[in-house]
Order: sequence, then structure tokens, then C-alpha cells
Amino acid sequence: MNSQYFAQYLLNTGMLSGDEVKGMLMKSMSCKPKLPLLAMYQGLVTARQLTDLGVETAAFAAAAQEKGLLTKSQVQNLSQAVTGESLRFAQALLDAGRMDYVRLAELFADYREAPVRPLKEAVARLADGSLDKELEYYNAYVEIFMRSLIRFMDTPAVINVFESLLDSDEQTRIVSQRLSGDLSMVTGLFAADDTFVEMARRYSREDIQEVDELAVDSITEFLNVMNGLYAIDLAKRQMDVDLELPRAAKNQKPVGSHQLELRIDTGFGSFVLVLATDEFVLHDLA
Amino acid sequence: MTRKLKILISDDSKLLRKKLREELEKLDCEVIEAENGKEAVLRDLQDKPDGVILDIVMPEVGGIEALQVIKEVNPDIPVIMLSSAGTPQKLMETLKLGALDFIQKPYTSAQIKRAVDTIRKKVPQHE
Repeated sequence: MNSQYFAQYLLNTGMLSGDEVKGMLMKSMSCKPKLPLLAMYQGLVTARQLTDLGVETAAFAAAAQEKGLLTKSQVQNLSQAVTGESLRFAQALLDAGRMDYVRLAELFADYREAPVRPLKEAVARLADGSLDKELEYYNAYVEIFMRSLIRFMDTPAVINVFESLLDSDEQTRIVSQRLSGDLSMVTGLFAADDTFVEMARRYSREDIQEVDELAVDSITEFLNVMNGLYAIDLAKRQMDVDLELPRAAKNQKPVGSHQLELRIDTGFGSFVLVLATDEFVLHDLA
Repeated sequence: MTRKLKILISDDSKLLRKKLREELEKLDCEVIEAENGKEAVLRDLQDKPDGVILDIVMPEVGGIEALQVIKEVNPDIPVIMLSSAGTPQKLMETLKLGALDFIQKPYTSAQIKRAVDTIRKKVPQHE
């Protein structure tokens, strides 16, 4: 199972609402998957066995060994297992009482057999049948971007396929950067000021309190690094692109061609990832 | 006593310059900053650094043009490129122009230490 996109799968299929997923993402940030869930996920015990065992997590290891379900070395290996965002999210669902082991096991099985990757499905749904030529490139970018949110901003995230953020009346910021050469594409981030500041703080690890020069600089640098990673990905497909200077503005909505707007919900707030084939920040005024 | 290694960093990102300065000062280097390629060329002429760490995408004069000018004026100066645009094409282009190495953003502390060691080896009194 992909280690990151279980939450996206549950949102796409309507098993959880956008608000539920947002709340659980927040909880999952401080969640550590526990032994029973890890044992079930690795196929060492079934959901039914966990339910029948009926013990608290703290007593699970001893009880499972006593019943012959797990060996001592299996327990040790589980304790040291490297876990991903999907398991953290699943543990948050269990802790909140939103699901039990049996339901979770069914959903894990469905998730493993899903014919389309959850991110790709979310992008296709938002593109709504348009953007045929661009979709391949947008999909590749989104994969890199969503993976990088964990790495650079310490947050799990999903693409919210139900709600937009662009109609917000709040003070907003937008940054963009063009890639030119074998591919013409512009990428950008649009967020309300408070989310923008939190993103800047997380990326820079600096004590940023307001949208100042360092905050704008941090987000443009983050975008620049994302686009660099994407340029390397394109180079593997024999495509050479140059990165141009980033642009930034306040209270401007993106107006690009072949534009795709993806609302990204994270554990700390929501923002919009914008992808288009030409510049959508008209005035560089930040 | 050996004097501190003087390093010019050129990047339009204030955040990057701040972080890189902190890394380099931990490695006992003296740091000079430039916000774009034009300023990098001027600071190179005026301050005579021992080595340069140069971004590629910068306003006014970009890193590749700045690299060309710096190497024309001072062919022996060690220049390390530090950029998000680390494609094989850019790597080859900058190495052909005389850059010693190319670090892809985001960098690690170990990469910066290696860059400083590389520069240090090229500066006679720091060998």
C-alpha cells in the first residue's frame, strides 16, 4: 500500500467528508501507529483476531504472544517498523473512535485494489474532462509536490475535491514561477495571509509572525525548490526546462490558461496549488 | 595563524543567504553576500573572496553569466553552483564554464562542508 495517500482515498470515495479529513489530518500529525494496527497492516493478525483479543493497546503485545498470534521477535520488529502517513491517519481514526479494526481492514483492502492512484483521481476530477494535453505534466508535478509537503513542511495533506478557496474574502498572497523550454508551465501557491505565514514558518524554520519580506521569500524559495525537483524529473524524460524568476503579489486571483486549481488541506490550514500554461500573476506587487 | 576562508555567496533569496551564512560561519568562514549576479561580480572584484557559492536563477545578471565573468577575471577562483535548477544540462554547462561542483537545492550541511573543504584545498595557505 502506498504509505501516504489513504486519507486522499477516503476523501475521494466519500467515506469521510472534507471537514472530517482535515480534523483527522491535524490529529494524525501527533499520532504514532500502535502495535495492533501495525500487526494488522502487516498481515500478522486479522481484524477479527484483534477484536476477539479485546485488550487495550498496552496489553496487546503480551496477550498476542500468549495466544500464539505473534512471536517475541515479531513484536520487536513491529516496534521498530518505519511507518508512513497512511498508518498515522488510520491510527487517528481508531483513536477518535471513527472506525474499528474490521472497517479499517476492509478499507485498506479496497485501497490496495483501487484501480486509479488517489492523487491522480483527485486531479482528474478537478480537471473535469478538460486539460487533456496538460494532465500528464500536472499529475507528475502534483505527485512531487504532495510528497514534498511532508518533507519540507512536516504535514500530511490531501487535495480537497469538494471545495474551492479562491472565493475567499480574506487578505491573500500568491507566488508563481514559470518553467520554460521544452515545456511551458507556470506553478504557484495562493493562500490567506495567516496560512501563508504558517507555511513560511514551517519551510524556513524561522520565527516568522507576519507576511514580510522573509515570509514571501520563504514561499518563493519553497516553490523554486519544488520546481527544481520537477525540472530534474523532466530531465529524466529528456526534457530541458529553465526556471524563471518567481513573482509574488497580494490580493490577486490567478488567471492563467489551462489553469488547474487544487485546494490542498493540511494539518495546519488550506491553500491552493495553481498550475497553468502561462503566467497567472499579472502584477509583481508583493 | 591561518586567516578565515572568505566566501562570497550570491543568491536572490534572503532566506537562503541567511541559512547559508549560518552554515558557513559554523565552519569558521567569513561571509560576503550578493543578491544577484551583477553584485556578485562587483563583490568578487572588490572583496577578493577565496571562493564563491553561486545561484543560477537571479535577477539582473543570472548565475551562469556571473560565472563566466568571474572566471574570465579570475580563472583560478573556486566556484560552486548552488541551485534548484540542477538538471544534467545545467550541470554540464556550468562545469564547462569552470565551476568546480554543483549542489542541488535543498542542500544538506554535509554538502556545504564538502564545498568548503573543496574551496579550502584550492587556496594555498589553507591546504
